[in-house]
Amino acid sequence: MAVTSDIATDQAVTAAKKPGRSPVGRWYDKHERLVLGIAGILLVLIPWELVSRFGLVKEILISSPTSVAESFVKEFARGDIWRHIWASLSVWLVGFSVASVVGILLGLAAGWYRRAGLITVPWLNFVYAAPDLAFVPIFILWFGLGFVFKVWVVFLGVVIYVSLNTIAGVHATEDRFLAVARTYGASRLMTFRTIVLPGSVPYIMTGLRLASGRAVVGVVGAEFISSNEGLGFFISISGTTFQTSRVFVGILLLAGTGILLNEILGRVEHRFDSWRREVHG
Amino acid sequence: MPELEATNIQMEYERRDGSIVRAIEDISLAIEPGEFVSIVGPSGCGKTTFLKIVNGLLSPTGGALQVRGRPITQSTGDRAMVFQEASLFPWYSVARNIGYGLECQNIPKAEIRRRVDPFIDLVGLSGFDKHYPYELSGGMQQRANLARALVVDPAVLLMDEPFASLDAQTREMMQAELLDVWSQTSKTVLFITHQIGEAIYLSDRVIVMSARPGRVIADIKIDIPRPRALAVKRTDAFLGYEDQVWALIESQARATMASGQLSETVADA
Repeated sequence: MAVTSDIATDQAVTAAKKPGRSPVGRWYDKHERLVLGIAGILLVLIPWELVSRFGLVKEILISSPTSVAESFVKEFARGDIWRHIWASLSVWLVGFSVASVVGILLGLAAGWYRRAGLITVPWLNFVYAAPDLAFVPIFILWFGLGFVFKVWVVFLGVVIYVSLNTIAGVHATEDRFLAVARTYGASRLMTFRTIVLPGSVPYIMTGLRLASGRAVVGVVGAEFISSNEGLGFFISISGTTFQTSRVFVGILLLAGTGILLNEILGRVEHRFDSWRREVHG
Repeated sequence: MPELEATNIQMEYERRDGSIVRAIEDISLAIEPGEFVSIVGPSGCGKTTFLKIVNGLLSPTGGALQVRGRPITQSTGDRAMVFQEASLFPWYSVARNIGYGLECQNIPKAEIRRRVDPFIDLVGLSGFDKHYPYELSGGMQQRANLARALVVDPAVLLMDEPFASLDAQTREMMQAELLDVWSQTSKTVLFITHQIGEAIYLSDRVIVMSARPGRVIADIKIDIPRPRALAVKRTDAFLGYEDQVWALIESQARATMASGQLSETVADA
């Protein structure tokens, strides 16, 4: 994403330097990204609205941008939506944070101690290959319906992503850095602390960012399958009762959450590897 | 007593298929305190392997090493290596990189800071102590690399083609700067390079190695007075040394090509 935006800005900059452009043209060159981005959105929203208004497709099937907006405002005014947001968010937060810590520790251990890695990695790959939601029936069996089983679904997915990425980070430790540590007589702990750990941070951060998305899928999926609250439940119940606008409200909220999470974790990532040339460009 | 003495160093390793490769046949050499000695040889002759042995990164399959008359087996503070590639830790500042050897010895932070500062100045990196390696040019990175080795005050400074990745001009400047720093610290230096001119310009003695398996085929004393300006590279005496070393290396390189060992030597490079 960062790459494409860079290219876009580059083009805008070169275009802005073109001589003989009218003021409007120059304003466009400067804001091309924004203008075309909005145009792209309108290109979908306007036909959608029209098709719905003129009854070309039944509104109950596709709703319309204005009804979605109306519904959005109504849901928040009613306040019930907050209960669902909080239900999903709390599952996400608990599952994600516990799994992050466990995943990083597990990954560091499995990466650093060769034998620990040989024992755990086949299991991690096995669970990685299976969709998290396939475990839902088992978790319901073990933990019953409610908060705990959903946390476990999230936990499972996040632990796998984070630990596998952490292991990759530890294994990517460069020999030339290890050689430096050895010539200066660094202890094993010192080598781990000053080389392996900082070198793994970018991998760990990538793992966390990828896992945050998988955690959202886990929350919503678990709520789809069996729950009486949460955004997944909200969407699913709205759909089965033909409240199409509310389905779109749910989708909007989830997409917003996804973008927000990506943004936050992207910033944390940036902070942690300020030393990387690639990041600074 | 020599600062560093290597006696009949041999190195063999086993390939995956079980066959034995001889990297070093026999190297014996003694380096006096404060001496600057370079090793040159055709690529794959085992010179970097030898340096790693001296540094303790590899154990030789035969022979003995002594620093100041005491046998050595593994990496300790008495030998410090300046690496060929950019080997600064990208996640630490220049100052922390330079102090790394001291950090490994569990020396308190304030003390490290106090000992690092003069070396930052010595290698001309004043004002860059808080910068990260990616913010430095290749030449500056190698200066930090050098400072990191000097800070631990090693008996012998080992340098593995430290200027190989620099452009020609920066390389020349760095050679002159290295001599300047060396004259101020009076360290014993063992320097590996494949550039003959660089070896002659820097050294008191140039050791020429054979093609693999490596052994010493010449030990040439460089009688050019110090301090040496870069212009010394255009004097007759200098060119004479260059011809002499080049003739030795050329014969070795030809022998290697003739016997079709090139594929092996590449693997070692």
